[in-house]
Amino acid sequence: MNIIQDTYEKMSTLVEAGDTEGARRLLLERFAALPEELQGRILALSFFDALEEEAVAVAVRNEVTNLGLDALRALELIKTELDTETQG
Amino acid sequence: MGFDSIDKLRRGVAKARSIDEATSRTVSRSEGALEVESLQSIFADEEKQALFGSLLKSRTPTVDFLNEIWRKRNAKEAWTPQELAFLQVERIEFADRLKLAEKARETFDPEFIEYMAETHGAFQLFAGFYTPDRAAELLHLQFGNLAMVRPDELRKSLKTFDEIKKKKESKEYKNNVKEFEAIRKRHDLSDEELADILKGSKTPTREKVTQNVLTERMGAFGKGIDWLSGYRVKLKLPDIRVTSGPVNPNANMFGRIADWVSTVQVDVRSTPDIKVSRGETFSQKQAHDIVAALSKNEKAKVRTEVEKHMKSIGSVFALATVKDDIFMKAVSDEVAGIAPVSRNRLEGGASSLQHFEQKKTALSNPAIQEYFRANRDAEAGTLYNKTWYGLQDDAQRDAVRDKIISRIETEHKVEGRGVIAQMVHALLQHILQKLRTDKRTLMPNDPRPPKDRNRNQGRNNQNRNQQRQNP
Repeated sequence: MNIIQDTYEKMSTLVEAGDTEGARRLLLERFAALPEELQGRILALSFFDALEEEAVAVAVRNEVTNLGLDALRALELIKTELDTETQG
Repeated sequence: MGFDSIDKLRRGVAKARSIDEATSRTVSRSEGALEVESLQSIFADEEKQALFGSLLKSRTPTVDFLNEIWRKRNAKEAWTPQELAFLQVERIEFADRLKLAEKARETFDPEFIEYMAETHGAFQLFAGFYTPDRAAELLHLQFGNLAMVRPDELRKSLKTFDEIKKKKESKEYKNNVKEFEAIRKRHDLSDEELADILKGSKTPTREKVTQNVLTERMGAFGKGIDWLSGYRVKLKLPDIRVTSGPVNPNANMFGRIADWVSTVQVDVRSTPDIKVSRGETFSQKQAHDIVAALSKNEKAKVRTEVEKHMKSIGSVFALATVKDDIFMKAVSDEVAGIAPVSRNRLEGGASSLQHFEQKKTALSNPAIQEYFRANRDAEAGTLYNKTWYGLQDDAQRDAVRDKIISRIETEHKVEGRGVIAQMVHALLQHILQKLRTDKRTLMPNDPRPPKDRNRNQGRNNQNRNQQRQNP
């Protein structure tokens, strides 16, 4: 059995058992031995996945800034109010 | 009214009539002019010829038709008008696809690819096998192939990039950063310690420390917001924010925000479109009402709380704005596991395992032949209402073989939405590619099913026996 078929079968078993991390580790161990064309395809899949993550990260970042800024503004107002009372 | 393949071909011929084999031309498209190369020039360039071949393969229903085009090209024979018309139409499509690949290369330039590798741990694991330039080179090569055989995949990623860019450059975000900078300066809200911790490279121990710090800081961020919301609720003031979608209360703050953003649907990852209705702006009067409602002891407590929460919120906020790349890395590491692989098969228990065992043997060459023999009559019946041995020619037999390969692909596809499941599928496609190329060898047209020979043999023996008994 060649390395591609063996990797496919072992990864399938791991993925279907829910062990994606194990499948990733196995692929990384054998990655350098795969044909360059297949390496390129896997690299592209990983890149597109990272791009999707980036989209989520940007959305999360924008949420954090909106949420954080709303809260900071409010907290600053309370602090200013407390300062004014103390001074008054 | 429907169009059959002949209608489509005739329309193609009409479109391409003015383009001959040796000349180039410019075609007007809604997205701008398209430089269409001559067939001669495509075939003269080795790389373009290979890409054109991939495109034709993905768009030709009959393999024989394409083989004939290739055979004539190598033998320097003239193509039929039908073959030429097909090629002329396809060279326009080819120009379109080349443009798509070029756009992807320009958009995802080496600098952007390097940024992605630095900020996305999972991608770095694969990109780390190469120098940054080589990784970009390999990806750019892939964009060429993808433009030919999976253009939608490439278009989707370009769309995602546009959305990212739009969000990164939004006016609202820029104003937030500016305002935060002013608040940060007034109250000294930087958190260099957190930035340094998150900057570190990934080792298992460090990852654990980083995760703990991140969870603690995001927890503090959340507590700050919750504390403020609590005060507003207590005083019957409008809540800070109303969001849609269930949120996992056990997740840390990134996880909770990711839940809001995705409103649980993983599909949203491709088109992250935040739908939240904003609460009312907190006013000076509301701050005054809160402070006025406090006793003297409470005021001291509230001051300590306010300062603590401003620090916590500012700390994470500083990462999101001032140290954007560190924040993005932290979030992407956190949300990387957002789309877990379906465990349906596993939950199926013994029958699933049995199914997998069957699948495992089905990819070896003898197993493929056995599978092919067991299914060819049924597929021939579906496609042509004949048995395998009743099929007319090689074209029909190839169509049945292709159908069986597609069936193998469907049956072997690993269930799951995550990228690892996609990678497993890429391995499968690579294996099946060989099967497609060598289908006549791997699924041979053997002379006669052994069952028939046995049956005839049995009948002959029976006759002989009868003859012996009844001379």
